[in-house]
Amino acid sequence: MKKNFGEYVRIARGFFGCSSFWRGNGHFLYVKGNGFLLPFSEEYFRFEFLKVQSVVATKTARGTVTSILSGAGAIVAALLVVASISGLDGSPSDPVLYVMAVLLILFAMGFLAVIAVNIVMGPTCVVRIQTAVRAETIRPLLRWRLAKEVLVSMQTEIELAQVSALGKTPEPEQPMARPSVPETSVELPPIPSSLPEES
Amino acid sequence: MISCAKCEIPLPFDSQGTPEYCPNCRRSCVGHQFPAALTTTGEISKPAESVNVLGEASCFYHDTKRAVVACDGCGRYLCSHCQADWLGRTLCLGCIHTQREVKGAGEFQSRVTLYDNVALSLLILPFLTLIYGFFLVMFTAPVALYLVVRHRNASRGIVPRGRWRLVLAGALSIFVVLAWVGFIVAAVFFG
Repeated sequence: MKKNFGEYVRIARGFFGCSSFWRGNGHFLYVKGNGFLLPFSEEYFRFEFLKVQSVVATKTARGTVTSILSGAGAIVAALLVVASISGLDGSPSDPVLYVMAVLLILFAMGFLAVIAVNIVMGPTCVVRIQTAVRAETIRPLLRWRLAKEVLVSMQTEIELAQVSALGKTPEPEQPMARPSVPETSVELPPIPSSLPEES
Repeated sequence: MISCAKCEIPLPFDSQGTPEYCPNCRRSCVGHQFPAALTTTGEISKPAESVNVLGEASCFYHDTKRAVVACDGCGRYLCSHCQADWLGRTLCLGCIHTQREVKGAGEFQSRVTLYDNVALSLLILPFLTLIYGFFLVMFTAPVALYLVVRHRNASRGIVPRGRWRLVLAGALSIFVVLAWVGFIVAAVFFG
């Protein structure tokens, strides 16, 4: 998949190129692929900078759960490989056991690859973009680290567009000054050294 | 209102306007609410004003609303409710519908079927059933070949895509069809 075309620059893409998220002139383009392994159809959603109400990313446990399940699968596959190899005794069924062992090793490697990808890419998340009439989950922004980076750039662009449309210029953030105590000439009464006795 | 992307519960604001945790699912959140959320119409635009002065141009679709712009496509006067900014042009909804449904212009498409991927899947997915795939593909390959021929010039969406999927699907489906025809002919005539 190309990184840019026409006015669009790709921000993120999903697995197998199913979905992708692009930045255009004054809007974001979300290409949502629907299908199984390959996208059978694509839907196009354009989010104009002026109409975006909010963008939220929420961390999910999907990556952790996938890693745990993949780890369990890898352990089971490894145990089955050991069982297959230990069953080799020179009988006519040996070739079948060999093939089974090779297939199981491939399965185990696939499970380990899933764990490795999860470790390298970091935790998962869900990103949701909201306008007045639509709330859409941006599927390509699957990873927390990437989502946070993208959200910062999105926030800058959307805010600039909306603030300029409102006829205001964005004010740079100023560091907060320490509050000063006003000087006064009124003398405070002396603090009594002891409490007055009750009559 | 800003809400959690996972559980869709409204999020509380801190002084920076950015929540850190969802109070419901207790998951970390990063987000921002923009000025568009604070306007009544949900966007940074003025509401349509009524025609006050006799002889003032009114909207083609709402004759009581003041026209603020002319459509770049058909020239009809439009109020601020009826105008749509589409890739730098101001259009009415009728023109957008014409471009999308009648003319099939690429930049106006909202959905497209990827026939090259459908054809390719018809040839590949049967093999997920392992040995039965060889028999299933006998039925799916002609369908894939039909899709390739029928939709060879169909739109492949906004994002540029090469033709290699279509060519591959065509070549594979022809190969499978010929192989099965040859197999059946051989079985009938040569036992």
